[in-house]
Amino acid sequence: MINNSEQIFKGLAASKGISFGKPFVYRAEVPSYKVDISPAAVISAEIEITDYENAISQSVKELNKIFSLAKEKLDDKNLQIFEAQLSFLNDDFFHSKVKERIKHENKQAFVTFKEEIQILENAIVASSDEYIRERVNDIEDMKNRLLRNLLKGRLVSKITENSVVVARNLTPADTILFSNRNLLGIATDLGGFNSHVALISRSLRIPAVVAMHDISVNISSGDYLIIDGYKGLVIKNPTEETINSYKEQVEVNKVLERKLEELEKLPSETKDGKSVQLSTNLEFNNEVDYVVSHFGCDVGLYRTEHLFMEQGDFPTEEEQYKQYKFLAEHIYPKTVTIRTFDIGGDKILPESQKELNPFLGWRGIRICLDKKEVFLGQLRAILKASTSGNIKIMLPMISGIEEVKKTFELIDLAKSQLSEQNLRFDENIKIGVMIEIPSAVILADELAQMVDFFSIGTNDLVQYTLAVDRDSSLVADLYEKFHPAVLRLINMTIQSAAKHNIPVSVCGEMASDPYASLLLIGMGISELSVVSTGYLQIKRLVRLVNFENAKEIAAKVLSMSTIDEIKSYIEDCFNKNIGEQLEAK
Amino acid sequence: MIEKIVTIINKAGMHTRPASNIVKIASKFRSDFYIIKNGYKINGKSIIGVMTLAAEQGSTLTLSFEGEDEQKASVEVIKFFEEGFGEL
Repeated sequence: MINNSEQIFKGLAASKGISFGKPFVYRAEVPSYKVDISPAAVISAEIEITDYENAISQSVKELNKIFSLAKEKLDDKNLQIFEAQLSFLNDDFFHSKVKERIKHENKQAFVTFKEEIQILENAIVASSDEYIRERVNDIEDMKNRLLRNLLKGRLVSKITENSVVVARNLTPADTILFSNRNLLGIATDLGGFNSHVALISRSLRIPAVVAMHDISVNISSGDYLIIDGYKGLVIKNPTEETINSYKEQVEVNKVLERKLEELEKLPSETKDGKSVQLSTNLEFNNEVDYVVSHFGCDVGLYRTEHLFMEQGDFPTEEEQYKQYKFLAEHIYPKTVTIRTFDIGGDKILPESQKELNPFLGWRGIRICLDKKEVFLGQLRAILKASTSGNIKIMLPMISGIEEVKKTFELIDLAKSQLSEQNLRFDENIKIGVMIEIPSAVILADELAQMVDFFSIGTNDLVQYTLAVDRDSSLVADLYEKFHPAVLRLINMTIQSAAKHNIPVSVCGEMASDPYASLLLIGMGISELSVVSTGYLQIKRLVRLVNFENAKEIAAKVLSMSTIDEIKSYIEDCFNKNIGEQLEAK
Repeated sequence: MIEKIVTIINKAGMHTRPASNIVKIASKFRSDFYIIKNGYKINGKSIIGVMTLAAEQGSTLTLSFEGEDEQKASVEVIKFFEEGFGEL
């Protein structure tokens, strides 16, 4: 490990922490089955065939499970469709053909499988009969399930436990798969602070450095690495001196963390006794135990998109039900606010139909209201999981009253469907809307009379108010949460909520920013939903704030008209009031 | 070997459910079972094969059975075709 050729690579710090370990260099030959990949050379046809067989048996197992769950609920006709799905998976003639080809052509299993299934799809699609043509959908499930298991098998079997993953880029699905393998750290060529890899590694508390440009070609499996997720560095083959200094830092950090942990049991209230409810955002099951044992707080935002992205398809009602039930049970007696699918059309539309402006396009509630069966499935799954009364439903991308009305109709429909089946659910389940489009702010008075709570999604609110694409680097400097217009819209929302006596939270990036939270508290926000890694920092901040003082600061800021003015004033107030107390970081 | 020409008579054609049932019936017997459509021959015990024929209403198919129990197999399978897959 002592090596003269220590090399330091710089990137963007995406997730805090320091880790030491051997790299697992991941070359994404199969980044995602949505993408077509050219056939690569195969190391061993036998391994490909074993992978293929494992994927089949895994898929059969999954489908059998769903089948057995569905049996009591389906009529004969639908049961036969299920049986047909199973017989696709059990078609040994087809499988032996695929295996033969893998052996003779030395091709990857998933490529061969796709080619063979393509023959079937082409034949069906070529039919002159519309009904027969539509049967291509019946194959979809089998195809996706098998491909998913095939790729999962390949990935997971390759990763060694306790390693640092180094990759060009990681798709959401990759990262989630990796996360089940005890990762020490992540370093990628691509990605930004808000990329999926970054979000996931933060929520899983894995140190990560992204945007390193070419780290994946500079590291090989024989190296030893330090990942510095504070400074955004990767140190290749560090000297003993470097290792020791990092080890010291780890010890110091532990002491600091312990100090923060003392906050866990203290209430979240300001110095002058005003309580500010703190909850946490959650995306993955891995986080639940940590949140329950350390914070014991509500989950203010549970995103359901990852369920979609893991599979590249909408999860079944049953899969969702299990997921939501798991959450509700673990969090109980605290509550969890489940946000319905907020998927962009870019995730489901075929390449040829991609929109020019996906953020202004088919997204969130718009997709859900168009794909009613999918939405109903999700609503039923949430309702079924709500029997303990600790689930709330949150609707994303609401731009007007109609969307809320239509959704309520669907929720009522879902409820009556469940009642017909004698299934229990929380009759009084609370329903809230995300306030993230300026039109919703303008209509906040009316919306507040329809729903049980508001949650302000600041990331999108900034983007839609200022007409600044979050992902465009050309206008990145215009993306500004301290813009006076944004702050006034937030204040309007809080006022409307207060007028109609409903709670309002902030669940965007802003809630986790100390400066911004000071302002939000001053405006009278009832709840901050914070990323779990920032939870204790924000709690410490809340406990250092004087509410009366914060109110004055907020009032002053709301009268200001430029970003610069606001920023320098708030920085000033912050330093004067709580800065020194926070210094001890 | 037994060969028999049949026509698809049900409205929806040889779609997923009938295909699955054809395979189920044929698999009960040891005889080989092939379906030929427009010169294209597939194994009738493979649902993916059967689906590949994409046979709509009015299609003409040749069914071919060969093996020790070909007689019994042909009777049951042909009956299923003649009943329009139970969808008439």
